[in-house]
Amino acid sequence: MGITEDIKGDYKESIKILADKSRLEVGGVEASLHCDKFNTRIIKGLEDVIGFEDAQKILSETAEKSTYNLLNAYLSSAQIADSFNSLSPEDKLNVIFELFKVLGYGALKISSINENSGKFVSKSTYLSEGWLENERKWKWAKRENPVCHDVIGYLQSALSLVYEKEPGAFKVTETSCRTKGDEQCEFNMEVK
Amino acid sequence: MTINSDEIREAFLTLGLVGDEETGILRRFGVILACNSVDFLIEREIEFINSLGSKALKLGEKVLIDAAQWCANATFGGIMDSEEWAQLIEPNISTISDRFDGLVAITNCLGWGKITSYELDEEKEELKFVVDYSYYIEPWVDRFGKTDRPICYMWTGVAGGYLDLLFGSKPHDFVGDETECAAMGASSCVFSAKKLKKKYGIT
Repeated sequence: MGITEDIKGDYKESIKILADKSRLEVGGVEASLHCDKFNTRIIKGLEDVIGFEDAQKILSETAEKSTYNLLNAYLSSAQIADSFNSLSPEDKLNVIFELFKVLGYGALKISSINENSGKFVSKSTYLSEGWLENERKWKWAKRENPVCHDVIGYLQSALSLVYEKEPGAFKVTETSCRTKGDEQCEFNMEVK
Repeated sequence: MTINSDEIREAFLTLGLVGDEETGILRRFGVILACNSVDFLIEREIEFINSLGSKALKLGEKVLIDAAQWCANATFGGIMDSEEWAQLIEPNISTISDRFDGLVAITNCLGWGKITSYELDEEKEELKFVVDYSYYIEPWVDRFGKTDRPICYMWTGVAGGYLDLLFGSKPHDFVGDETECAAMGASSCVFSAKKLKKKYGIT
């Protein structure tokens, strides 16, 4: 197996239910399972009350900081750090995208990447997938703005880890989103 | 009680709590699950509440509770309709309390904290349950210290959602309340749920 598969396999093995507390741990960090119904309702509730831009800011920034900590705790751990650090930036990002799949965030792919700019695409972020299902189920209006606010934060955290920057160093923008009728979700990265 | 929560937890783990190899989508129990850090789940709620200021606190809390109540209805409704439920739990159910035992066993696998006891009054259609280790408490208290109000919004919505599913016909037939909260200094978090009283036919 390659390094990516080794790390992904180890990450899967790290998922534990702590039975005495009914809490969940992934890669040594406390985590929790929630469904698309909850997460999309949170987005809708926030957008309805404080507007698209402020909702996106809160969700992407909190996702960025917390996901950075979630990933960093695992990828800098003694059993993983040497393997991970031996990879190129692009390969590191691909490893993180595989971990995102493990966590159920959907599948992201690199279109282009360097330290200053990048483009990423996804045909299946969990938020777009969930929103589209719930839009039909609950007869929500079609979106005019993208919905993958959490995914922006996940990407920003991943880029900070790959390029060894503090969270907040990169700005990711969702330029296309399946919930608007686009074929796929697309994200652009730039340095802040 | 005929539901074995230890067996359900083991079976839950064997379902594979990871996203699909190709799509990264984690479909289980008829819904799409995602595994986020607890810090994210709590911080986003804190930042939202803070952004509104004290005058709109009730509105913010209502948004968060409402999201969870819809979630409970759809998620646990999906769970009870799922093949996994049919295989793991349905054969052991003969009463409404058994059904709630099954919901508690699944809830206790999601990483939200532990429902340690409950009282379900089937005649009055009322529920009270105790949660230890609610995932809200540490992040909230670490940041703010002891609070002056209950803050486990997700659990409050879920409390109403449970009864919507067990006795109601639609979301928000019932309403949940957090009557004690560990973030306020209580030993555990305690939730109750009962039928929503309508004033002049208006909810």
